[in-house]
Amino acid sequence: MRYVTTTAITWILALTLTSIAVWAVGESPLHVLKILGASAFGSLDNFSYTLFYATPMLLTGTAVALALQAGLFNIGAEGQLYVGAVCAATWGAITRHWLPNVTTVSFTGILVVIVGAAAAFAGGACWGAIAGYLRRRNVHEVISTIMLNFIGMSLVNWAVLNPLKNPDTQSLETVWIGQAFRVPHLWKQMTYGFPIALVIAIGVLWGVKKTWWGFRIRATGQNENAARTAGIPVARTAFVTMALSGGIAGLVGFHAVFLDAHRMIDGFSPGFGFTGLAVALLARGSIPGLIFAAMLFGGLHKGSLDLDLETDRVTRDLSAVIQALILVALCTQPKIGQILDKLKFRRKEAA
Amino acid sequence: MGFNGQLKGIHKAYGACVANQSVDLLVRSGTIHALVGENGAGKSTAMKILFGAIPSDSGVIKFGDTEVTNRSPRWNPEQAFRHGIGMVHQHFMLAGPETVLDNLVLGAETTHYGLRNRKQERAQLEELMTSTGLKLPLDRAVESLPIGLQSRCEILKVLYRKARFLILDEPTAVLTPQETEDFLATLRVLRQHGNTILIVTHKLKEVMAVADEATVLRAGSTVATRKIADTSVAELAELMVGRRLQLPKVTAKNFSAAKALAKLTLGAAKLELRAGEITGIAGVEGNGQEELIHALANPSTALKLQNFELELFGRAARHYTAKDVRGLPIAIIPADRHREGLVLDFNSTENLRLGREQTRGRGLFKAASPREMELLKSYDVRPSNPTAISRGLSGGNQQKLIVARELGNLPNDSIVLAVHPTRGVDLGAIEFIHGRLLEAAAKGAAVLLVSSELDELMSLSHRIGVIYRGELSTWFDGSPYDEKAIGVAMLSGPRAKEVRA
Repeated sequence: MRYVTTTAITWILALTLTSIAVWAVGESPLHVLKILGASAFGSLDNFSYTLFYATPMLLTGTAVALALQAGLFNIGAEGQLYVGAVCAATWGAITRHWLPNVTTVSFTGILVVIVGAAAAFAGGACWGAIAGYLRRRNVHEVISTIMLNFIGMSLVNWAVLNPLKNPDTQSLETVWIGQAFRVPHLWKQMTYGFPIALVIAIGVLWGVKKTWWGFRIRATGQNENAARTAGIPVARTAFVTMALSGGIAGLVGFHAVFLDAHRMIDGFSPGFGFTGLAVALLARGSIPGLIFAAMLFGGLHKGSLDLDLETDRVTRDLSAVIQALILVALCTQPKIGQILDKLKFRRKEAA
Repeated sequence: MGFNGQLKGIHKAYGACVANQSVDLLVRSGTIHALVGENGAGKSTAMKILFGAIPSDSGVIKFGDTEVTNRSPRWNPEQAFRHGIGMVHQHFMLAGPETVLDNLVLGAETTHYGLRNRKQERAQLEELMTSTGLKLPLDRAVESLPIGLQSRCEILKVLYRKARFLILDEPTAVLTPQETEDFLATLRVLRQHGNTILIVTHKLKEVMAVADEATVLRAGSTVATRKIADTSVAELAELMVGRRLQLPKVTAKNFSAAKALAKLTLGAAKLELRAGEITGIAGVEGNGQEELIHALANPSTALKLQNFELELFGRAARHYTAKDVRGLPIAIIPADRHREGLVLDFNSTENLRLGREQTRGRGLFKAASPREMELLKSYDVRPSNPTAISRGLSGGNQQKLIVARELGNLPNDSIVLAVHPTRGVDLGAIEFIHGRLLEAAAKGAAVLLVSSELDELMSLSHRIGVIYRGELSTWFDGSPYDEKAIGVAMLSGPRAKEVRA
């Protein structure tokens, strides 16, 4: 009951804030809301787009949420997913040369795709592990992951301009992966990535709550000193968690290269790594929360693309503002709960 | 010229938690009055209400004949100061690098055309120091003074502001026995000069030594006020706890030649922990106790230290990997239960499993097992509900939870490192924890007990070593212990013996 009330209040707050912003630039809030809703959830086609965008957000959200459980702030999902993509694209380019004769779906083809996923995971995990290792050397992971983001992005840049460059086009992208390894979309725009991401998100968060290694992660995150005193290897736990987190983020690269674009396009991520932060913070460690938050941000992303097209004054920038306002409003939920409790207590006291 | 201080029917609740149910307190002018009670009995709340730091929900506060309860603005520390009421907090509020003089006058500086008039301040302080007999080196930096003098600093600070009614919160918590004695003498001097003193403490021996009257709080209410002349430690303790206490004591205090489970050399400190014995370590805080514990608890990180040698269970520590060490039967009751003992947002079951999570069947977490429920019950953790979040437990119960985890599943031949195991814990819980430590030793564990409470050390230890500036060379064997000699060794190290001889 309390949860329903606070949720309702935060959504009213979110809608009010965005309405004010929209109204301030001279658009009708109702109109904008209608476009947002319709373009995100209005038709099956649109909804499949929402799920498509939600997929990488769910992965990065899971990655950030996992690190958060260990008390680590992984700002580096963006860099990790890029490195994952470079690894996947490299594997794609290699297999294209090695196995030019594989042209139809076959056991070899499936194996290649799975190894592609493993490569992306390994790439992201390495990137996360660097931050994890530096953490043991007393370099704060926020600093190191931010720095590693820049390196990761530059790596993509270098890859698409040099070794993996697609000679047939002017745009910044790598060669396509082999014909037989291009996994088609599963349902309209939705890729196989969405169910995979769902399984990973549920598996990881369930594991954190229910298994001994999850227990170690939580104990390390909440009180490193107590965990160490009680005999938990906190340094190793933090290191492994950071690597796992990076690996999960790296899978976004696999999703982009094998399941969606079938090549790596420079700058393919519109900040999925950073959206992942928002998703994880919003979810506060709950599995339904994570899925819901990823869908929400996926929908907002899809909706805001259309806002740009279908309204006169709401540009893409403003839709970023709207996303931010909604996030701010949602973050007030715990505080609203506290205020409600206080009011209730006062009323009881007065009675 | 002095005045009484009085609380009548004070009630104070924080949300649903009632801190003061009904507190009555009368501090007579020119006396030393002790306010005693267990943790959570409402001592601090009552004291803060008297000083005006927090408002009461109902009840009357009186100083002399003036009722100050319903004033506007409400009774607050600033008004209290103007009334001549001063408070000394448990945690010193001193600016370490500044001189004693600057600290004493801080916030009440004398000015001369807008500039500090240090000359006048110095003269006033000198006068105050001669009249009260509380001497301090005015030009030394505060942080260079021993803790005992720092606490004197706090008192002078209040006196300089013309306070005649002093409220002291656990003033002896961090003092050595010697410093405590000096401190109590100071209080007597202040009383002679007509000051009124309210001292909040749980150390009954000190109450008996210095106070005129004592008021006992239990569960937020005043249960009794006694003249010190007419009461005893036992009676006060019984009033505090609500039942008779039987503090356990070690019986055979003969230092034996039992098997040494740990042999440690760390700099100038040599230590052997023998099976079935409790080894007490006394010392002023910061003399190397932490390093000692750290070396025993984390030998793999300590290996880098100079002049460090450690043998655990008959094998040199450098032959153990970090993982091996975690597997050894070493129980640690850490000094700071919040920082090192518990994950506060975990529940009782989870905290019981901390560090033992891998041994659970197939690694999956289920509800508390019968064994865990039994542990919570037999270690008297209240509430014994296995899903109670540890943050909500009282300090004593949190400590019992740690003791349950560390000692509950202990093999017989193990090492127990207990650091301040009863710090800030109720009398009832102290009794219980002492019992468990003795029991562990009786079963063959080698116990290292580090404590700042000499009474605790003396009643539990088979022998006591005094650590001074990292040196562990003065040992006291068996009963009866010479409390005075231990105190001297704590303050001035091994050479004290020669000086005394």
